[in-house]
Amino acid sequence: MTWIPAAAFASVPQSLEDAARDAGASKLRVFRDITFRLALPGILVAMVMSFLHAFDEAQGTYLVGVPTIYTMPTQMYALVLNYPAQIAAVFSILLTIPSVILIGIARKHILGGHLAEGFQIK
Amino acid sequence: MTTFEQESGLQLVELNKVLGGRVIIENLNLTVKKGEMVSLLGPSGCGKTTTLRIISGFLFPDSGKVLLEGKDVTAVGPEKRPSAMVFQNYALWPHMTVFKNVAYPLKIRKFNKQAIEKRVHDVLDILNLMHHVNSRPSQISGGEQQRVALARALVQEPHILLLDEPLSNLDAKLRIKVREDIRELQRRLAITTVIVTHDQDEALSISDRVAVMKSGRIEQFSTPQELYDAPITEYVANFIGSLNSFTGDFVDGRLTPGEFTVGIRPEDVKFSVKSMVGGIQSKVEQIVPRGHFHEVYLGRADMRLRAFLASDVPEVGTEGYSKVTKALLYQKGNLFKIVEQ
Repeated sequence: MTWIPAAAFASVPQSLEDAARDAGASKLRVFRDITFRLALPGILVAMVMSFLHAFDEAQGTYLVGVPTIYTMPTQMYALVLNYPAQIAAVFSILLTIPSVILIGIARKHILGGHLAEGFQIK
Repeated sequence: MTTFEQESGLQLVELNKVLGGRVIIENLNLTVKKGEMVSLLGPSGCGKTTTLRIISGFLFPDSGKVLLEGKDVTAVGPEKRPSAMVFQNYALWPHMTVFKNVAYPLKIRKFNKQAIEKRVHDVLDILNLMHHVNSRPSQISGGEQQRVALARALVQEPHILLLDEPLSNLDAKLRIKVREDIRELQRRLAITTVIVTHDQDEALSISDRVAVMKSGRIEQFSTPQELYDAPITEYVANFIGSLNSFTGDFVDGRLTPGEFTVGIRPEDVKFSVKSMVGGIQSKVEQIVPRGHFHEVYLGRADMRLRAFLASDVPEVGTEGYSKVTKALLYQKGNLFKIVEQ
């Protein structure tokens, strides 16, 4: 999971950072304005992957943590399991809506957008 | 401080740099006058890019000094130096528009909004980019990207402009146009400029003076004309223009046995079917059309000579007379004398 943002940072071309330094930016400023911005898609992907991983671990977390520790995935399991089947069906359909919106945003801003172009420059 | 130092735009004094156990730059000295345009010319690996990175502050020399307009900036980082660089691949930030790219250096210097807008618009106007203010770098052509990179450098009003192979990513026709634009702009703004290139055409056509580099040293630093007419080493003679090269001596217009290296430029060879004063019997052996001139190989008793002939090219097999008007004689790599006739 560490490797995805690491690769994203590594793939930001050195010359883009050099250009910012040459323009007068301090190292911290270069990181904020250039490196971080261009690595953002990779960081977002890593966030999604981490969450999926945590979701996978929900049963383990439940066994160890109940009743004192609740994480977001265990709460979600509890919610789903505590409702009658009909409501769960409705709920799962409603749950697809944010996913669809997320895919749309990802397509527009990450895959086709300028963030992806940052990686095509040598 | 001497007056000389005040007048110079850039001075490199006794620079040395070792990278990865290899000597990249060795005792390099260079003085660029204020407002002058100078090329660093050499094959890849000769240290020209390293020199530029030392001038811009990305690399620090192991020893030696960098003076910008008389001030010692050797230990100053790139963000604090009054230099601006145009990178080989332009290095435009893809997540910013053209306007934001050019405005970024001013934003860092905390200019107010109106001042930024005015200066960015002025510079984009000079470079004919006003219609692309809101485009992203990926939406404009290579030549335009190059101009944006130049705008981003010029907007900082640098004391020295550094160009790292600025034209190598452009196609041949555009290259000539852009290099003329750069030259014109540089003259108008009277900005001290150092340009790194491996293209001799480019260096000769746009610079006031050219420094030919070889393995970390400057072989010759002079005007393009001098470089071409009187290259002081064999290396420079071979690197600039074309050269017929022989071992021997050059006496009475012909090659004789000897220990010199004789260099003859193909342009300095005359050919005629009729006999001429000092002409030597020659036979046309091969003709290669090169567009506006022809490359003709002439067989003579003393040597096989390559000549560039503009017009009246004879056919292969024609017998005639050829004459060498100028020959460069080198002894152990250094210029010994120039023979003209």
